[in-house]
Amino acid sequence: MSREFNYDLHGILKFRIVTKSRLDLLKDINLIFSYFESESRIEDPDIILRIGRFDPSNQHCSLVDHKYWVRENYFYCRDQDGKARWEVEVTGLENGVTYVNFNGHVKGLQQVLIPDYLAQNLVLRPLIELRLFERGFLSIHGLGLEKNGNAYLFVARGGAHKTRIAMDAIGKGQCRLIGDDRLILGPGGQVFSYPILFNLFRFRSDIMKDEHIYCLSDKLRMIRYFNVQSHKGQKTEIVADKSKLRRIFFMARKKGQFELRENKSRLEEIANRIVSSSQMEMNYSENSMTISVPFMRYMLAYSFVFPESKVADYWNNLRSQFKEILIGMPIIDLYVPNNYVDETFQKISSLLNG
Amino acid sequence: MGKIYTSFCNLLDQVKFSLIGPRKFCHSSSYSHYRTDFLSNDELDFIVRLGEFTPNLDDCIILDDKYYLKNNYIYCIGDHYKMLKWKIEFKNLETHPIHININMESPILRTMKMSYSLIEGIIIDPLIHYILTLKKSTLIHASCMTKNGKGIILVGRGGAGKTTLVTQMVEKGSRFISDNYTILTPANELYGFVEPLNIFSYNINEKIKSSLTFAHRIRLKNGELINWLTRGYVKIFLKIDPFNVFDDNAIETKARFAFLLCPNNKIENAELLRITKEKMIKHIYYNQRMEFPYFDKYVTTYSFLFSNDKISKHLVNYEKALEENLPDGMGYYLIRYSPHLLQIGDVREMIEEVIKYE
Repeated sequence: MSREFNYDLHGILKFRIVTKSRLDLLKDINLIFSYFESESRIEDPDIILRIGRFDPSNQHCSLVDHKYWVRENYFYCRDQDGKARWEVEVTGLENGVTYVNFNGHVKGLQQVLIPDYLAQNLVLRPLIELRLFERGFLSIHGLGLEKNGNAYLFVARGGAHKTRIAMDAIGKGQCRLIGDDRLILGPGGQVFSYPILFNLFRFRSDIMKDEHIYCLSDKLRMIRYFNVQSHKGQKTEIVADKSKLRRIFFMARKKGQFELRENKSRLEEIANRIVSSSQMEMNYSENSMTISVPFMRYMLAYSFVFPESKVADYWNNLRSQFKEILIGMPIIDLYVPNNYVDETFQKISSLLNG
Repeated sequence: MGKIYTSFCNLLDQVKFSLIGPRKFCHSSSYSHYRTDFLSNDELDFIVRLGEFTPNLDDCIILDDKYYLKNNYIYCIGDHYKMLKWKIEFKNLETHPIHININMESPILRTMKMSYSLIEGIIIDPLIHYILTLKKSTLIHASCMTKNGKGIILVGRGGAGKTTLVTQMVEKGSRFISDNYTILTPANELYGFVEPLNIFSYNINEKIKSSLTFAHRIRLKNGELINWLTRGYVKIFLKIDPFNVFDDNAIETKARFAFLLCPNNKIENAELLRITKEKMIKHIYYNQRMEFPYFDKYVTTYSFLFSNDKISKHLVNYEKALEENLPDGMGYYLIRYSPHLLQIGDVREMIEEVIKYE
């Protein structure tokens, strides 16, 4: 009674999700990679995520903190945080095809409406990041906007109005979307789109005035939007799948006026800042289901047993890669006012030139 | 609001700090060994104040709707571990003494010992670790003993057997230095970080049992009961002075051997192998990274904006200090064993063999 969903990330990485969930009412939130869904079955996926009960094969493992079971290329643990409990097993963590078994439960309505969200947010997304890196592609957290083939990356933490800016800038036809949360950076400055929860973004962009969906009527409108309209045709209009990296901004919210400052720091410092943001992403979740993303802890537990592994070296290697990419790249520090105003998106739109 | 107390601690003249707040917080048994008389602000490395405070949010940059930061300053509007919630503020990060203000949200839990233990574990201990690194010493999550003038550290995660092994070896003639944390100085000297043994039903052994008073035994049983009632959620440790348990102890020794303890499940026989200094440094580094996740998180958040500041370079400096403080000629070993198959006696014998012949 399982269903399969196959995904192709620009031909760079392919993966599959196998789940028993049936309710498709909120499919566009339940399955976050819908933008990359492939019609046909993929024969050789790099990652296979199986959601549901499983029997772990955790023999001959090192035990870390009475909780994490680790052996070469393998990881298993049972964990909980906030309203969620789960157990997860990853075979092929560093080499070969990655098989993920995930059995989780969240207290409340989310378990009925979006039962597969947890597995993707906690484990699949971080594993995609690691797998992409192995192939020379960096997954960066931030807002990506494209204009005239040029990509503008706004490295920003949560709450920096990324989605709102994207909604307004794209809605007014100023630019196209690369990702409102992440993008993929490839060799030679190539930038690939990475719009996670794409239909949710489109709903906000088309219907909502701002990015917050609070009241019941908004939620009902969202469900209707997901299930009534067909959007396949409009796909490429607002997304820029491929572009060239032109400029990088560090964006943050601050009380006061809009502020722009050229950043003359050393490459090392800039790279460290971007890596810090990536580390925070492995640790922090913007949804209410869990308080944090546990993947950083899992990486540390694995690194403790295998301190010379690819997983252990990931952050240092990521830092070196960024330093290379940043050579000759203009970096600007951007501070946006605490409360979002129209001027914010206008000022940002004006930065998308040259 | 109760009366506010102040206490001062001096750890080997390397870390000096002050605690301000309720009496049980200031006079907690965790740092009683290092308590001292008044220290002026000039001498202090950090001050932790438990109680209400008003953060200064002017000119702050806001991250994740949760952190307010500016140069030298971090404010987190709310964080939590299990049922304990708190707000915390770090001031004067670059110019010491660092001022930390922390307030627990719940008025009931605020007065309970578990809140104080939490603050020690997520704020005070990692700050001690940070200051030691600034002074070029290294805190290592390991138990320590000395035999015939040779210092031995047993590095491992919680539950790896650090306390059990140290107890067994002290019974066979070694001298106790510490059971959980050890400080290694640039002069290759090992000092114990003396703190109470955290006893729970799973790490108790004969030697410890024999030193427990009747009151201790009652408290231990209560802890077990609460743990069972809350299905493992609430763990209350019994804290006892190690110097009451181990009568022949030492303060310092020269570093000679380091053993990394790796519990495995279902390994046939315990294994011992020699490893390089470089590998041991990395194991120690990750062991330490897993100790203080909250402090790590505050530092990472700060380094998103100020990656060139002292505190943002903390982890890199720690690894460098390990490289410099650990002697090249030291014996570095890794031991894999199965606690399930009760191989800890074999492990002890392996360690004794190694230290006898080198």
